[in-house]
Amino acid sequence: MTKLFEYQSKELIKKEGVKIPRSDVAVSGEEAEKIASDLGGAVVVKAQAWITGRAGVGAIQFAGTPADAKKHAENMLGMVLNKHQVEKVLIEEKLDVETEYYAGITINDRLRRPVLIFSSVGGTGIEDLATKYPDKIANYPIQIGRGLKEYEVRNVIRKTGVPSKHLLRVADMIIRLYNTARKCEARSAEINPIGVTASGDVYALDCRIVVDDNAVFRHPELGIEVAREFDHPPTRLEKIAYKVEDKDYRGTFYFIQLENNPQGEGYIAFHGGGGGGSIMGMDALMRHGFKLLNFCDTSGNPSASKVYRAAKIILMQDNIEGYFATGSGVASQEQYHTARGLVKAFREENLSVPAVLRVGGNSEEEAIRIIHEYTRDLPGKVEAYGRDTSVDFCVERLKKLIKENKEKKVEVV
Amino acid sequence: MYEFQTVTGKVTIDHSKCDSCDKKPCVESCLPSILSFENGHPVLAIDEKEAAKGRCIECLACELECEFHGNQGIHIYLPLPELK
Repeated sequence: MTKLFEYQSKELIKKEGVKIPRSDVAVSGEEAEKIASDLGGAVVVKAQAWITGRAGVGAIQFAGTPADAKKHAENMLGMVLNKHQVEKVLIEEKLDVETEYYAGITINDRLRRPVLIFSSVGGTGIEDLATKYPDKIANYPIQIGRGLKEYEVRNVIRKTGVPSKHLLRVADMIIRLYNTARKCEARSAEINPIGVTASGDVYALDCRIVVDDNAVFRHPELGIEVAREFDHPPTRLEKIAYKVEDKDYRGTFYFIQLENNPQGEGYIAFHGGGGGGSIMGMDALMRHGFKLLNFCDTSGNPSASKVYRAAKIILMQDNIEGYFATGSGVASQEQYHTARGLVKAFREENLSVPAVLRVGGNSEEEAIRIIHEYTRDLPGKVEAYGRDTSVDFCVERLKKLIKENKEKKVEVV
Repeated sequence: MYEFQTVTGKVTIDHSKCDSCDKKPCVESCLPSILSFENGHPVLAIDEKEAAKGRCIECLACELECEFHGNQGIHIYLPLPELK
């Protein structure tokens, strides 16, 4: 599922009429200082990252002066939060908030409909608060054909202890949140906290929207480059990999980099064929002490050209010690397509590291023949195996080949 | 240079190399059987537009067989997407 940043999510709800604090996005300390100066008064500096609990790790700071805002922004920009390097900060006016609530619209797969979740205790640590105060939480499955009505929302939130004076405005905000979620086909849309000021104005102080991957193509206005569930902004290679799918719907191709800056030894380029087989292969590699540079899956009967492009992208990574490909072992797709795709990529790149390819499935004998026959002149040794060879054995082989490859390099030196 | 478009790339065949090729494995290796010989040179046996729409499945077999058993006259160009 594709996550939007706080500032992007807030722009969407603002268009639906939800009040948000005056704010702007900065990519440098100087910009942050200028924005803070323009806003006037105290501001909040917020790192734009897909994590929760930002306040606890210094990724949300209050600033009384523009100079303070600059200092905090400079500290946050470049900060790595759960693999995510902060590239933008949101500078927002600081409001005096008296009460905080939580509201979320999320798709419930079991109920097959969106559910409104509301809590009359909002803010940091909402998950813990929900456990501590179960009577303050309400769930309400929404009839999607009918939509969400204002009176329904009032009835729901009143049960959690929201005072009468807040009911109308909070309910109005939730309706607008629901409309936003429907328009951008969100899997979830949350405002946490909803802040109520002394004057009774209701603001969305933080907002997170997650868009359904399969709906992204209908929403070019969202500017989503890669519709994948990442814990980091897409890397250059991930963007290239995603674009492969633009023009080629034969089979599927997923590619995710697991290491930003691989240091040291033991990194394997991984190429899976099918989710279950991939997990089995990755587990086996890690059991044997290897580290994974990436996850890749080409399955669902991909063309040889798609497998080729996947292998080319995989091989563009740094610090590869070995290439490992495996599937379930009983793939129904013709394995010679996979074999030819890999061979073309390996030959073009003049593969210099060992590769072990477990290509079990239809026509595996032909696939193994193609791989062995057409890679024997490459500097990196390539071995192929079929369904009768275990994943663990294949990993052992890779380990041995990597060791031999390193010894060979030492001899040459 | 003989060439035709595929769904995501382009096949180029250097017919001058085919003249001195003994085995000519390209046509036989073509999985969807869309190649045939014309004056001893491999050419599309179907309309070019059909090949571009997907009748050429980009199996890569002709290129590989030509490289190892023919005269290295076929190249399949499969560009990676570029970023703006």
